[in-house]
Amino acid sequence: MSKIKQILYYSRNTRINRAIERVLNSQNAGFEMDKITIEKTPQKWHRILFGGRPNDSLLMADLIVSGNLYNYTKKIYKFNYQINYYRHFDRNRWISEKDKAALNELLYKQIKADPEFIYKLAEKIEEIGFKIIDLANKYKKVNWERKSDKELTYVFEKFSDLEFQLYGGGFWFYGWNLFFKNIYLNKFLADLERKSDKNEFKEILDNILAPNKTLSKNCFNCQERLAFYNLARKFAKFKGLPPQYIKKHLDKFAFLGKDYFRGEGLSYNQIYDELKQVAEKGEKYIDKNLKIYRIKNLDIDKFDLLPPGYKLIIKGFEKMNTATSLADEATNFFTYHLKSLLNEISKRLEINYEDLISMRAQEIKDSLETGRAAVSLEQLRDRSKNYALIFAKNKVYVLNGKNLEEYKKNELKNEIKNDIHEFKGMVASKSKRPIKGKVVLVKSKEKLKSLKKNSILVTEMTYPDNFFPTMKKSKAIITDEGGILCHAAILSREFHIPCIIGTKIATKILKTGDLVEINTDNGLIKILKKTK
Amino acid sequence: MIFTKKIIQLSKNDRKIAGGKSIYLGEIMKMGILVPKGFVVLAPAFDKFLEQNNLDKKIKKLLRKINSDNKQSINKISKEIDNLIIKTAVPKNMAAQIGKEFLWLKKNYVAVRSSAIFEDSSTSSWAGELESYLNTTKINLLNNLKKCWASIFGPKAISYKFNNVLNKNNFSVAVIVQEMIQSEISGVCFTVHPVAVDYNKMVIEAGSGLGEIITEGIVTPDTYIVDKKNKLISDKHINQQKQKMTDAQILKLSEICRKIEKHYKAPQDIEWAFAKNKFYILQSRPITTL
Repeated sequence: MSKIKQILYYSRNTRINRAIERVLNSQNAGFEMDKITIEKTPQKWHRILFGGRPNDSLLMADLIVSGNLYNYTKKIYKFNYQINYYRHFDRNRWISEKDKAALNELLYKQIKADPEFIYKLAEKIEEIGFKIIDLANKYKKVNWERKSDKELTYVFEKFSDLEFQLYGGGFWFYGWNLFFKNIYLNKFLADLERKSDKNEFKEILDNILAPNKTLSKNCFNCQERLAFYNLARKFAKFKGLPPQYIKKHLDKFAFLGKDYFRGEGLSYNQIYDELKQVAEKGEKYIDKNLKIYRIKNLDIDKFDLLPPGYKLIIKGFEKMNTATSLADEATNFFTYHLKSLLNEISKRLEINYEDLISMRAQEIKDSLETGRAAVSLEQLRDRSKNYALIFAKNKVYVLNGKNLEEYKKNELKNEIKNDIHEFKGMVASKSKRPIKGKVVLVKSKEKLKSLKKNSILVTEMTYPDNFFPTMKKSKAIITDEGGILCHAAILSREFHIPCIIGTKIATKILKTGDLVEINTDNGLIKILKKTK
Repeated sequence: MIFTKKIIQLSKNDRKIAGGKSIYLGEIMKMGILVPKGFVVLAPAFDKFLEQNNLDKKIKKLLRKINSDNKQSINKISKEIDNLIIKTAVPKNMAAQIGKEFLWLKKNYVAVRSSAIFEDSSTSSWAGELESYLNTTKINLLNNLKKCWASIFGPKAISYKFNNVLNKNNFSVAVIVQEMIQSEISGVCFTVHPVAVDYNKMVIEAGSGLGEIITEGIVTPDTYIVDKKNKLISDKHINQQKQKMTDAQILKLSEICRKIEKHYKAPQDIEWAFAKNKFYILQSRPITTL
């Protein structure tokens, strides 16, 4: 029974519980018994990815998270934390709020203790990525029809294990998408700006650390673009190109068109059409693009005023940029060059490719062992339509069909319940009477100028540097983070501006134009009217 | 000419050359409370540095150009002054004295902070106005020293001063160099509850790692309220699952802070750090707004 209980605390709705129970009893008879009980608090989820790839598959979702089952965060990345709750459905990903908090804290600590941490992490990701590429290169010419089940299993197992290692249970997936790129980088940039020479700062920002910088150097995508624009230049000059040029390009880069287990790779026509289009735009346009992809690595060591720890962190970010694209590219390299292996596996299991990639890696291995699909065809068809993959305390659960629908409905209900009309923070600066006013939500430095007088400033946190002039104009301040002794709190008291601090959620709930009432006796913020 | 003095040797008479922050640290050290070992680069060193290179006249000229309503003009002038200071070399005899003190510390890493001469002139808190540079090594010590000097002309500092009607010509700053404490927990303590203005309550905020993320409001720390009279923890706001300090640690810290408050007979704003089972006091100053 307890294996069912384990999943029950995702939903307290008994009707759904029963539904889940039914599925578990009928289908996944292989689960181990576990002592986790329903008394455990339901998890609050934190979404880490909105609307991922449209070509998402269950197998890929599994490869990202199941590394947790083997302790790969610790073993491979020497990072002493394992995610407890993770879920994936409707192309969104979540981890629990608790995991998020613990990860944040630990990542801060880790970088503080070892500024080279980010660099080492990226190095490891790259190392494993190249192992996957090597594996694909080794086996890409094999005729799988002539190989035994055992041999198929061997290569698939190698691949899936390397993928588990590569994604390390999804911890750096969170780390990169949220912690490094948002939370840590903002703080680091603020710090760096104060501590480095203005010109140096600009150069570093332009080349590496700009928060929206998506271009990663050294990666295959970047190399492809460079080669492509070089081809385009020839194309423009000679008004066309012999086919072998394009074929050569495809030999090297076609795999980049893959989207994990889906997609077909870049095609001749695709490249030809694009070349034609670009060539028509003229040489200036081509040169401009060539320049973009030709950026050399910034020699950070030349900034001799920068403390060594900072340099290591900057280098880490640079490397991580490349490593994260390499992770995708390596997977695509394998799925492109060893599509024949995956096709052969489906053939032997008497299912189609679409069914195969709706299985978990472990299920595929189990199937290969017995020679038939370990999951019923009906289930697989359901999963390929839609699925939820849930990782909870060292177990992975898959929901699909009706159960998934009911699970989602229930989650949606919870979200509506969360439609909060009032929330609380700590009072950092008092006013005699409750204050009413319109909200101005400020999420970045740039927008600060637009603050109107007498509006209520709502912000994630407040550095005196950038908020000081604006703060004085506002009627009141509400923040997500900070304590009553932080500089912003002190300044708000100095200027007699009512201030509620550390609400955690203000910027997520309030929008510019909302009418709110602030009570500085108890720290309560009431939403009187929402803007549409 | 003497350009440096050890913190422990400072006396009240040194306020004009060492700044309030360092005098406080010296006094707290003498009370037997743990303060990171260090020395001060005195204000006359800065004056000499300016004088010797004729920087003082150039700076005053630039400051006269400021239009206090125009943020851009403040930024521009601040930048110009900053460049002037950073570009200029520290006089050799001064650098030698500073180097000698650094060796005396016997540490690889130091923290470099500015101590403005009128910083805690109990009219303004100067909250977060002046810079500090952590994990400074021997190699970048002089550069960070100059950056500290320059920070007194930072845009926020200049505009802050205009807002507080301070004398335009009165720019002077000392710089504190202390051994770097690699804190496990750190935070701030107000010996009076600043929001409720309750003189019987003390507020301690604590977070993991360096104190900067608390003072800058980047994270929401744990907040503990201590009843001073009954020596009890009367309220706790734990921000993440785990309480950052044990109750015993909270009470121990509150005792240290009370001692400092008693000594000064005024409510204090104290920055502290906890490392290797010891509490260090990094800074103490009177609370300016109650």
